[in-house]
Amino acid sequence: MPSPRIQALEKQCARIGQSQPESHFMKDYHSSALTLYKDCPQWEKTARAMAYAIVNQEASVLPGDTIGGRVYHLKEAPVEKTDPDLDYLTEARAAFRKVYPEADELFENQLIGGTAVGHITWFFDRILSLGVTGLRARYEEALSHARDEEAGQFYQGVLILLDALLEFNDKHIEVCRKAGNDELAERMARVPRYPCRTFREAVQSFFMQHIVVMKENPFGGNGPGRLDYYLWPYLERDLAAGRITMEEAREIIDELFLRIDERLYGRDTWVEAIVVGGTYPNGCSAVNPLTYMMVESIMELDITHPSVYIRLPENPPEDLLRLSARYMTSGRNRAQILYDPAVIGALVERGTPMRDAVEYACGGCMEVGVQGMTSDYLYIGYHNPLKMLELMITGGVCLRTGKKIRSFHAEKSLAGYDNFEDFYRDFIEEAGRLTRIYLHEQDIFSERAQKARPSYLISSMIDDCLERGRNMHAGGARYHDYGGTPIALPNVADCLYAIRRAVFEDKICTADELIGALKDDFADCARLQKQLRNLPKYGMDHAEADEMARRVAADFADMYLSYRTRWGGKGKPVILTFVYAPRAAAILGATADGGNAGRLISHGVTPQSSSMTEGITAAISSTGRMPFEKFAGGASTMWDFDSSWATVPVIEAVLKTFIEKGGQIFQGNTTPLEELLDAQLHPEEHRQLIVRVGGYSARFVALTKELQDDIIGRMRHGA
Amino acid sequence: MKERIDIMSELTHIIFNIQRFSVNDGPGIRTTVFMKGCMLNCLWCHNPESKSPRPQLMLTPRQCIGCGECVRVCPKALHSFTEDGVHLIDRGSCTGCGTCAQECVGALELCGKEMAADEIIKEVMKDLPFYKNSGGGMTVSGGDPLFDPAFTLELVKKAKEAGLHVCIETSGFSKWENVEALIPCVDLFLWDVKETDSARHKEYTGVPNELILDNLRRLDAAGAKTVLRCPVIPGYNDRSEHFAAIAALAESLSHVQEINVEPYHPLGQSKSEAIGKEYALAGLAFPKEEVVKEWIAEIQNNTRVPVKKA
Ligand code: SF4
Ligand code: SF4
Repeated sequence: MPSPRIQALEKQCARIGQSQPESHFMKDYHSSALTLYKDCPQWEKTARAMAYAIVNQEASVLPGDTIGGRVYHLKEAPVEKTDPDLDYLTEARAAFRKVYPEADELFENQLIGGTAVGHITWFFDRILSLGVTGLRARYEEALSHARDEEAGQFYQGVLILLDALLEFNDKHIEVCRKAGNDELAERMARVPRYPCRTFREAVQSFFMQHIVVMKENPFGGNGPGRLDYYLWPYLERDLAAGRITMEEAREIIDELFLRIDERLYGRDTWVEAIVVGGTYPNGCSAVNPLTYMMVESIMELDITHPSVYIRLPENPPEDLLRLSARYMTSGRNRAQILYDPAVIGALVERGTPMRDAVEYACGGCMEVGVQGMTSDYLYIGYHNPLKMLELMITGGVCLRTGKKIRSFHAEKSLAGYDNFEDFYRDFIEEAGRLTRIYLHEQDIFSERAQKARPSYLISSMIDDCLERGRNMHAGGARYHDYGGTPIALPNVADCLYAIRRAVFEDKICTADELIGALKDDFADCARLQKQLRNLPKYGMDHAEADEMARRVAADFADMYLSYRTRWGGKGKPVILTFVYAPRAAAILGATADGGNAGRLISHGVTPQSSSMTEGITAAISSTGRMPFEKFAGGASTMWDFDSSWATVPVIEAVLKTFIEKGGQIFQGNTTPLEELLDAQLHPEEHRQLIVRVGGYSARFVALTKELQDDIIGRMRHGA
Repeated sequence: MKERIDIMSELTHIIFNIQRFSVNDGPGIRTTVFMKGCMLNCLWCHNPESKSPRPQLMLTPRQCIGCGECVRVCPKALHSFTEDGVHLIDRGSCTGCGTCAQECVGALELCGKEMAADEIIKEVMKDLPFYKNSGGGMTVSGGDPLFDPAFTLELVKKAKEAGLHVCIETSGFSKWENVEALIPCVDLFLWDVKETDSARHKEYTGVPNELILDNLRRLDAAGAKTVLRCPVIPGYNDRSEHFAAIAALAESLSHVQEINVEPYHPLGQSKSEAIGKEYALAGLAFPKEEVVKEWIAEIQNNTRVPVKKA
């Protein structure tokens, strides 16, 4: 049970969160650009307008706060007029359409996706250890010998934003004093301006820079990353000096988490991912007492932010495994466990040096990126290989509308092939072409972001922006990668395997019969449908079906990894399903594995629910055959457990075996099905019910009916 | 008794299920091997398809799409449909050849497959990493493993050679020698105590319980570890005297690890219908959670051995 003070803060967090004041941030940003800074060049206008909007926010400190600073995101005042110089979308969209006139059709059919902004992790520890003053000094110094005009502009932009951060911070000092909170006033006078000396200062310094960065990059899905790792040295020193107790530290962490939740209250898809535990550059476990404390804290708080994820190092300590299992069974469906050797291995395979790879964090749901070295396209969105396969089978005809999709290039239907390999090769080739279009789209958007969204503040905490004199979209970030999701890979694998067996090997049906049955959604083909369903599937620990899954996943991963972005980065496959299952279902026809039109797709690399008939051990064995070394952006799995047997020892054994088999990311639900069904009927009685949707957790009753059904319909692994 | 086909002098048996991820049949995560054939005939049997030692055809009408393939392919023409669509099978003449089940899309299933011990071990070994991490292993169940003691002995020997933790779930109704032979290769016996009153035991299961209890005592004297598995069937053995006798039995032995209360569940009903048999306890419902807790408490009051719901 949290302390009485924290319980009171918990209520306050919910109260304020639900009735957040209106923010005039975006309004200030644009209106100052249109008036005060209208004559500035674009690089300066974006900096000054952002600084203006930051400084002009209200400084709010409430009685009892021991952490200072509050900003809100849920209600932005309408922006009457926008400045085109700050608009990073319109021009990019037009430029993309110019190159690809068929963009709309591609997009509507989920053959390509959009461009999600945000999704970033940065090195806030610079401000903790150097103070804004120290960081500022580095940029001053760099400015004095900037290598070119653009670098000079970048450095000046950073200085403007760092000053804004301090100015906004300083507004709080007055407010604290007036409220009689001298202790906090003193702390805020000290940090983030100067290097932190204590744990309390480190938390304060972190939080102030965090809320300002989140205003500069006001998008969902971000990662404070390795918070336990960067805060621990301060706590360790305080403990040694007898300045603080673990109980006091815990209360600070509780308060910090509540404040993170308050800022985004109820907007559950805006994930703020903290990854705890992990590995030191020398390969040793970086787990520390704060690792445990942060997990214990989130388990006891009734909030959906931040997302606290556990990074298990190689040979994880027994008690961390046990905690992970306990987090799974009684963490109210908020747990997500990452296995370092599998994730780091994929980053190294991508070409990231080990010393950088160990610094990975999640930029949201699970999008893996090296903390503080990657630009903010850690996640761009999704496209739909299962739809591509549908069009490949029919020769480009959409099964839902009957329309020919011209932007999908198929010379012939499945009936035109006399062997499986040719069909497979053409499918992969066309999917590769579409994937390249999708990634090229990001290049076009990044080109615009470089100018219209230079993100000076966050760039100041991204390597190697300082050395290169460039913002993160102008080539400053060490890794300019694009993380995107080919969804439904397990479904694609099952369909391909069914096609190979049914049409080419066992000759259960001809290609034309299959196409006819798919067009009719199996209306008069119950027997064929059952025969297709009865074929082995990925998830049954069946070597051939699993091999198909491995093959298709590897080929899609390679489409990403072989792409070179405009600054020499790579495409990174991020395998998750997030909220996409209902969206994909809305456009999908019947599938060759015997599925009816509109069926929900599987989650991440988890086998389809209907395929996991041999139990969870078989399913995990199948999953272990996936090419995790290629999933440089992370590949998640979703396991929904029957609560009757989901005990800590059993989950611990399952999790341990999962990681031994090379699995990367483990998440799931343990809420009894009856409770979910009851929550649909009586939402008012289940406001506290939190569920794992897919990369994030949310209040069940706040989800759409479709997403609720997605969770309810998943396989419940029982004994 | 049973047909046995020897392939290269290797023993085989008809297996009706190999269930991975069993967490209720002994410690940890296990794979349970269900053997066909049973010496008893319990009224409440929840695996009625396990009683006969031969392969049996099972029909799940819900899954039938009425395609008529079974009618077409049966070499003995045993399938037919009445005018109102009811599927009839002349089971008396069925040889269990499985041809119809092979053609069917899911409604017909041949329950039982002849397997050699090595084949079974190979299947069981698939989940070895899960056993290692959970302290699990293989459980042999049925039917009754002691229905074919020679085969079971070979199976558990091979399992031990493979380094597996082995449990046997049995009614214990067999010659002592058969039980004794298993001791070196079995880590834990899941021993059924269905009814402590012998006359009732005979009424409910077809056999008296003296031999079973005698074997249990000798097993205990030999130092073998046991779990007493007690199915509780409302209206049949949910009596205080029976609960007291279970506790007394556990107290009289030295190596009982646990007492498992297995509340009645009517799963046997649909399976009885699938093999064309009548179900003796038709209409009996699941006992309520509170009632089960009372049973457990009643037994626990009189013994130090932990009593748990299975
Ligand atoms: S198992 Fe063989 S004999 Fe029996 S009904 Fe089927 S096809 Fe006929
Ligand atoms: S083959 Fe199967 S599905 Fe077809 S009629 Fe016979 S029982 Fe029904």
